[in-house]
Amino acid sequence: MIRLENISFEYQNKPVHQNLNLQIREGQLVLIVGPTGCGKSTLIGIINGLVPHFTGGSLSGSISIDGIYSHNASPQEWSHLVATVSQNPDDTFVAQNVEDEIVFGMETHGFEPSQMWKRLEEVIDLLGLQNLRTRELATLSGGEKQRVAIASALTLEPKVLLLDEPTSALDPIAADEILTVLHRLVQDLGITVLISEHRIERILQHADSVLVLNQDEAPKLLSPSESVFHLQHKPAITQLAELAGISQSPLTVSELRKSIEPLRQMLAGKTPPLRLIQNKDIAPILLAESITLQKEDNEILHDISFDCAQGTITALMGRNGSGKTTLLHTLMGDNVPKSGSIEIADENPAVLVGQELLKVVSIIPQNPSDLFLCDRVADECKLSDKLRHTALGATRSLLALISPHVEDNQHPRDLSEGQRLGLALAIALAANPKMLLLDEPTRGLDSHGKAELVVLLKKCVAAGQTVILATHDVELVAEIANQVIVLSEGSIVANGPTSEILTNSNAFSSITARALAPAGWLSVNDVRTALDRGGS
Amino acid sequence: MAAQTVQYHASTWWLWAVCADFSISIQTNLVLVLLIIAVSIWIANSLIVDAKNWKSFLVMTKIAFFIFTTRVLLQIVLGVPVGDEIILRLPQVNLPDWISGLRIGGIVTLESLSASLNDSLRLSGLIVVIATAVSLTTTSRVIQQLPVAFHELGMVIIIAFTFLPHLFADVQRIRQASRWRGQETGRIRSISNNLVSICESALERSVRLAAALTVRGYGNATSNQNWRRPIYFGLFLLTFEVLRLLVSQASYLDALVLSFSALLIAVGIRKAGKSATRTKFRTESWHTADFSVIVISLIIVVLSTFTQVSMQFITGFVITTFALYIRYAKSTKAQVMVTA
Repeated sequence: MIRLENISFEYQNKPVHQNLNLQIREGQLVLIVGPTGCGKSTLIGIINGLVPHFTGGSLSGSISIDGIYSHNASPQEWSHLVATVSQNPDDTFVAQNVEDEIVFGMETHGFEPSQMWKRLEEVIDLLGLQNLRTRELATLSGGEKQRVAIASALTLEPKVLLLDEPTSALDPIAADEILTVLHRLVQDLGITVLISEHRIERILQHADSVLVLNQDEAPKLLSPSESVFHLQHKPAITQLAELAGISQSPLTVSELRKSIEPLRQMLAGKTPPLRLIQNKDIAPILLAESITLQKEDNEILHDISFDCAQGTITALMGRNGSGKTTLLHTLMGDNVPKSGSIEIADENPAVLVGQELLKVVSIIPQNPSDLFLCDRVADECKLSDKLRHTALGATRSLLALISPHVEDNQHPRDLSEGQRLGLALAIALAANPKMLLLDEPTRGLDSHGKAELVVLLKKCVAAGQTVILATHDVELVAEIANQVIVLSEGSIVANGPTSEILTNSNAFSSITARALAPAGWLSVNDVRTALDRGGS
Repeated sequence: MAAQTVQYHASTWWLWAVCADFSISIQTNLVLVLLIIAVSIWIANSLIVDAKNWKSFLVMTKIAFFIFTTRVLLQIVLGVPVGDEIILRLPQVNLPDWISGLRIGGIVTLESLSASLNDSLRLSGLIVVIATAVSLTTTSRVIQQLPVAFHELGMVIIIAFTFLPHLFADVQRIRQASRWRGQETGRIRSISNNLVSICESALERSVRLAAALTVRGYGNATSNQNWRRPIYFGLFLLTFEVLRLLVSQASYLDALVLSFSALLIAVGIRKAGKSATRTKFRTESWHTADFSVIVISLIIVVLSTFTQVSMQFITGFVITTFALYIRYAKSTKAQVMVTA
């Protein structure tokens, strides 16, 4: 279906792809994996024509889709063959309600109204949008928006569907929903689907083949069970299989459970590490008491009470729109609650400004770039020192520790996702705040960046700082959190130690927890540490 | 079933608004202007079913009222009096000689008061009529009805409508973030820094939107470009003529220019539409109710050009009947729907 021959692409004299040869058969679901900067998005752009027509750069080689050679065709001419769904559907919507958005592509291609109605009905049935068809796009949840975006991509009956990190912004339940839909599209309609993604645990079982892009090696198209051994960071299932001594890596938890008996026996008699959440002698550093927040007659947060002990990590989980971000902003003192009180280290953050605030609490927003105000990394660090009254160069040396490859003259917005997070963290940590809040820190981060973040957060905690992170990333929570709070529609529905929450819930439960249930192990690292200790 | 209404064509009430505004502008009789305002409010009250739309209508009406009162008050307090009929003497503030042009307080004459009442009433009348049209139709629905020749213009407006809320959210987010950085808000430097951030994120957003539009096939030649110039020229002529008619007497030449520009626009739109490769999903149909509204609107326009008292009496009668008809059409339609 897709055939790339001798593709080379150069951008500003830097080669991105060299002599790429690739053949993808019809009706396959292909997963593209690789670290940040390996050219995943560029590859998707090459196939839909945005590269080089929209982005610039020089492309050589030939591309054919469904037997038609592109001969440098513009993305518009290509649009009936190749459809693209982006990471954030909000950025691509042109209409205000669901139906108008879905028919937009057909309108541009001059379909007759009767034909439009027919196809509209078809895609609405296919993606289960019956109840949403007259709704305004702004009122939909993240998963629903993504489904509308896929529906509008399908109206032109494309042969190829490209998705750039389609689930990275979604909660685990919505992400599973989207993956099931994609799986069905491949099965029922025979569409060829290409997905680029960092969090591959859930997708791997749906994939027919995996394209592994690494900077050093030539790209390879592998079977899913082979591919896991070529990744820089192996998924949790593979790591567990290795620990159990299974040579062939299973792809689903149920497959893993069938063959994991050796590991169970090795772990027999060992107990999962306890994660202390409270030292009853010391007063908690954060105390939130029955916070209720209203916006325009709607109660967004309802009677939220919890506390965090010093030196712990608390994870806020919950579906998209359950109030995680709002709660973080309220803890920063940006929203004034109708009732209730917040105390962080005996201070109310709402009345603090400037460096007083920074010494108590700092936040890394969902999009770290929001924090950047200067044109150069060096200026950004200097400004941070000035605002915090710390020694000149403090932020810069901290940044050198967190992201060593960032250069002084780079523009903060030109940095990679991981480097941007690193800069934001350096700025936040320079003032040595008592508490650090992170909003979806792993969104768009590759597995390498995630591993670095885990190390950094563990260091912060060891130094006595307290962390709260809002995240969808169950594996991250399983790895580091002491306490988990699950929010639903603005209320706390569960609050307790990680081991309790992650083993009791189906959606918010890590792969290790599911594979070794009911033993209560949370992460591969816990298992590995226990095994090592037993061996020595 | 109480919320049933006649489904008017998206353009109908805009046509009424144009006609009513034209009448208000050329009308000399203040009673008729008041009548048109009253009928607009009556129509809005009869036909708006959505509470949100009614709220926005009330807001716009309040703005109109605010403009009316401030204008009249300013005229009383600051305006230079014209005429001899003194009706009120306000205490006057003595200002130094070098600002001799300005006056605070003093006498108020009947002539200047009535002139300012007249002007302010018209101005707020124009706003109320537009408010009616705005709250009776969804903007995106009106834009979708634009002929294919204007499709790109409509597209720009629709995208702007989707874009604006995002922009406001960006502004909010970045202002928040600057507090998080530890900046003191309100300082010039922080404002200018924030402005750059806002522009950057808006630009990034537009680039992503443009890329998405491109891969969805937008931007292929959608209409015949050759017919665009005649259409725009026709529109220019039309606007010019309408403005001219508002300030001076009509002549045969005006009629000629008017019909020529209308012809140019009509032919241009038709030709451009024929050669277009683009289609529309929602095509709305015209009903009898739409035609009656438009015909009556045109009749009111014609009637208001006459200045005789008898004709003005007829105009008032037509406008009142019109208002009653709208209410009646709504209730009968609703009944039909209930029985069916």
